[in-house]
Amino acid sequence: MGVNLRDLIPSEAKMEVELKALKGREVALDAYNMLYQFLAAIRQPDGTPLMDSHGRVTSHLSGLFYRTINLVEEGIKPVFVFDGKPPEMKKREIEERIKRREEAASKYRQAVELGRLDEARKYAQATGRLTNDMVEESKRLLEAMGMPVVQAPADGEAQAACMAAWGDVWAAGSQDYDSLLFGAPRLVRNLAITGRRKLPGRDEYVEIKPELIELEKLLKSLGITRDHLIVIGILLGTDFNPGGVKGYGPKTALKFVKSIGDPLKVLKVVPKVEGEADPSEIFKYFKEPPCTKEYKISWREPDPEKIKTILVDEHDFNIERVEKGISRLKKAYRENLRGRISRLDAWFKG
Amino acid sequence: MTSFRFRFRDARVWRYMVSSIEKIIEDGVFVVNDEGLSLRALDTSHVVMIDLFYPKDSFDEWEVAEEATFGVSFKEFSKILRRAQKNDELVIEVKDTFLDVIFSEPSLGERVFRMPQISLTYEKLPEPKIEFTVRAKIFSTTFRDVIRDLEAVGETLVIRAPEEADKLIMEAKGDVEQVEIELPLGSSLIELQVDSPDKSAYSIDYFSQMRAAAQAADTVSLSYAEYAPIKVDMEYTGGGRLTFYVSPKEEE
Repeated sequence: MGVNLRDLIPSEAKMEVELKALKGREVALDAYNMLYQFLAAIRQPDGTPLMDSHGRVTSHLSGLFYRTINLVEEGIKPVFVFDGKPPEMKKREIEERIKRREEAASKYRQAVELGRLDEARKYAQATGRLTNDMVEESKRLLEAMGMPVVQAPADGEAQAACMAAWGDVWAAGSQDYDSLLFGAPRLVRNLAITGRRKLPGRDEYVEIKPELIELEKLLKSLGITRDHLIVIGILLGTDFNPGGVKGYGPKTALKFVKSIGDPLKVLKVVPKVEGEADPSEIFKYFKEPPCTKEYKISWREPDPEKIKTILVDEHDFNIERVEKGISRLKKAYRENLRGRISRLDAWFKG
Repeated sequence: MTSFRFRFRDARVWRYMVSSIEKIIEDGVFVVNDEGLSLRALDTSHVVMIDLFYPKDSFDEWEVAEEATFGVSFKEFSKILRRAQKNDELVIEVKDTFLDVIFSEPSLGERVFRMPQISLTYEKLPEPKIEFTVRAKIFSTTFRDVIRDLEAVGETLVIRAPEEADKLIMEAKGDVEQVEIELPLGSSLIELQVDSPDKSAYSIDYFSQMRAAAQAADTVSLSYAEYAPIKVDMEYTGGGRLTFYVSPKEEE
């Protein structure tokens, strides 16, 4: 879920960009976040996910394979960051997610029985569950494709934000705004869903473009610090206190935080933070998330045999389509990943 | 409110130049002043910069009272300029928020296309500072043939000048094929100056995109240094010049 800062972000702090504007940039992608998006989006009209002959879900593999190829073809250099152990504080959110999924699953079954396809699809999208096997085969697929995979100690999103803050990658890529709280100088949204998308429940399509949010611009336009932003996040609700604080919307939270000034003081005077987690612990978690420096970012030549083993042999993907994908990936690798194109900026300074 | 107008002898030159620019850059701001017409723009990935300059003498009519700018979407501009035909003269007239692109041919009369200006903040980009070690000049037809040969095989162009300074070598490597093209001084090479026998590599894509602009050019000058951008100057009849700076590519 993540913190919802959407209504807080002024239009001047976010920018719709073309994929090609990100050419040559390394982006650390929150892999779980992406996989869930694939599970939600890649489905048949009645909401059934893609499956192999053993009935195992393959939507995430299909999404990962083709989307990664797309990104690399556009010159983006993706780094995939996977979640480690969820922090104790996140327990309640995780329990709620499981509950939401179960509810959605029973509604889905009802809708199917009643023959309501549109509804069925809607509920099915919320039932997506990532098992350990699915995560492991996603990593294997990415490695076979030559993509760097980073294992986070805890939150993948936090790790991606740290890597961006350290300058090892240019931006963090996620759908959630938490990356900004974690300190990512740049957040790119919509990378998993860029392109023509069907609007839910309607026969209409929209063109979705990546959205770039720069932390410094955002803080400047709101007139606050990152500490303030974290506190606002806690007021609105994070994964650690899903309900937030009653009575605070984006506007009131911003006004309140600004009127008090000292971010930590805000947490003390706030009436009641929902959930069991201590607000100052949540603050600390966003401010200094657990991150590792144990990773290597490099792209390798794709391994066609390994890719085919996973997709074709194990999961019944169509061999021609996979081979076509592999040859696109190989070409994109040669053009955009192997070798480094520098930017002209270095020669402007002189 | 500024308005100005200029006339250029051959509309097709513009058609070809903008057809290249369109592939690299989305939009840009032209500046007209006492010296002539100029445009400098950077592609979104900051790998290529274009720098265009036409002195006012290269125009048959130049009615510019004071410095002014006009912003265009190159995609839209190119769409219109593609209508340029043989013998067409080009008149650009800028008024208020729109610009008229007029093709005129005495026997056919005028065709007036109107397109909106786009409002962009104009900020003058600096010129990249590069100490070039190799400079060469070739005919534009040679340039286009060489690029076609290279792009047939690979994605990276490697350019090098041997110690003897008697030729320039351009090569590309693909998965299985490779190509090496020798341009000896005196035949394909019009000029060559080698301060240091350097070698550098660039992505071929951008050179493919320059091919259209080369079609209308007379000569093409190439200047580069090791691990530095290459400067590709297209020189046009009448003193106009369209320059592309392309960042180097390092092979791992």
